[in-house]
Amino acid sequence: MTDVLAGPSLGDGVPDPSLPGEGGLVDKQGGQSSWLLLRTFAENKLALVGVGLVVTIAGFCFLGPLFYHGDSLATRLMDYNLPPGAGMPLGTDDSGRDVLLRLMLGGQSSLEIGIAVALLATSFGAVWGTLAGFFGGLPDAVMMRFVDAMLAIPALFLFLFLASVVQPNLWLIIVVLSVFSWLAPARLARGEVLSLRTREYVDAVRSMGGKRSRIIMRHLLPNVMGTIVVNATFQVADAIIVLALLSYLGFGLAPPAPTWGGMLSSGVLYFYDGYWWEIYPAGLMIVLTVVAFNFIGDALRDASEVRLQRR
Amino acid sequence: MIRYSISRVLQALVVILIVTLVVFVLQHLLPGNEARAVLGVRATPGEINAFERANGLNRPIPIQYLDYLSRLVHGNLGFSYKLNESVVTVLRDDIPNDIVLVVPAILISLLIAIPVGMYQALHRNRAFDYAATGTAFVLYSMPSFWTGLLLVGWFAIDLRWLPPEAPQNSSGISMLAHPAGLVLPVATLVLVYIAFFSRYMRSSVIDTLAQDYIRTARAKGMSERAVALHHIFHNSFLSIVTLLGLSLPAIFTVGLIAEQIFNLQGIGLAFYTAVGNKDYPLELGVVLVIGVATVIGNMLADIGYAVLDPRVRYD
Repeated sequence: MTDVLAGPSLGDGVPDPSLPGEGGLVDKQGGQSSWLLLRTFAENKLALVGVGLVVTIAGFCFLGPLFYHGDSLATRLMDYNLPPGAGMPLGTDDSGRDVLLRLMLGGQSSLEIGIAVALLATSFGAVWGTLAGFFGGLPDAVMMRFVDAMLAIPALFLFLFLASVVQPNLWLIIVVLSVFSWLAPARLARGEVLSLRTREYVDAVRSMGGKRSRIIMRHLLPNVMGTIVVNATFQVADAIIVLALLSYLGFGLAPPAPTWGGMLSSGVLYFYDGYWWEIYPAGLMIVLTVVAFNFIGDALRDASEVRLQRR
Repeated sequence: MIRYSISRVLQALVVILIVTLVVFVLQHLLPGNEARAVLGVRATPGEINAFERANGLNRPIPIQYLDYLSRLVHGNLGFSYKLNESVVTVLRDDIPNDIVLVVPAILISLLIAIPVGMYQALHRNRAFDYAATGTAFVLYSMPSFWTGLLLVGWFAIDLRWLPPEAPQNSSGISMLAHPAGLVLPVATLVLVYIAFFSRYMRSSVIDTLAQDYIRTARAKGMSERAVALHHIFHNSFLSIVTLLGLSLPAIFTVGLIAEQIFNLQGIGLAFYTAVGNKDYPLELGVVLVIGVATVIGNMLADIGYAVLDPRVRYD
């Protein structure tokens, strides 16, 4: 019961058995499960929307600057707060910097950090949870109580505390965000391993004299990956939101660097003046990116559950 | 049952000990030493020495940890040199403001999210379900500070219906005398919580629907209405109550954002100000209090769940 919920995010192990593709599939043979997973995923319209959005956003952020040239840091003091117009499709901010270009570059750091955090956190969490679940007993108790304790401390608070001690840079942000994101995958992996380790094929390896490291590396970790990959998608979404929060509160990447959260926090000062191009585009980019990853994660989870049911 | 409760309490105690250990380690990771931070750069070595001896900072680290624990047990959470107040005093002044903000927000969002999530689950894959799912996803994906700022922009600046900040001259319960100022902060929290709670309620009801006892109830001729009320609502409500215990860190996180936007003096804003002031004792005190509150919340939720739902059996 207690490990059903790892934390307050849509992704963290909250069971969601809604199955948009349900009923339409018949698994003809075993052994086609990854194909089935892909097909179920592709039948989910929200999933396709999510993938389309991610591809579009990534193209906009990474390929956009190749076609839309400019200097995202150049300040033009005469041209501050210009409304969208010729040459500046989204106007300029309060330092005369090109909003459209900063939107693209801010997206690069958001996506890079989000994906890096998801990779780091889920791999570490998967290993931690797998080891805890495999060894059981006292090591399991100690390792999981540590996870419980870390889960009880709100990540944003600890991050702000660390930010008040050191000036964050890209790598520090990635590491620290990961430090607070591996907990949910650890709990998920442990839950999975607790049931996997009693399966016949694990007993079979053991009876044939297989080493424990072999059981973990060749049998447990690969089987845990499914759950973990789903969770990683949500981790990307969560990391992008927390990153925006940090930038908004002034503790993200240092100021001249373009970040979506930072653009929002300076843009909202101009709400009175109606400078909508400094308030809506950056916020919309965050929402679209996060929604897209959540759609994908949701669909992957549904698809993997369909696959499990049909095995 | 009693055995389960006792083991759950012991487990919570262990987790609380680990939380204190984490906070203690953070204290000692701070750059420079505490005496220097308090006395300033001009303090002489003699003064530093005296301060360290007076506060036990020259003792071995494990002993310092035990000292720290014993101070905590005696209700001493540290001293904010920046505010010249004990951390406990700061928290005692600020926590009532949090309660006035958070409790109504949770109640309102549950009142909306539970029926919405239930209706979605009972009428799955219909227009309303899609609309509500889409809305929940968008609300969940909005950075909470943007939600709050948009509310200020629309309802306080453009439309001038509501004040853009929380009541400034009152605190705690007396803020309720100026309800207009609380509308936007509470609404910000509600919008964030609803997305999460309704989504959770929906999947929990779908889970319940698949249970055998629902089929039994229907088979014996119980009306859909009665099934929904007696079986589905009851069970899903229990699980959402459990969820509340686990959500405390998230609740405080969104609280911090709302307090920062609307200048409401709760522990979130106290913490945020402390970060700006490099007021480490206050920061760590807040982290510790939220951590411990969360552990206790989880424990109470688990025990409560076990009491209310006799099917639950624990090892």
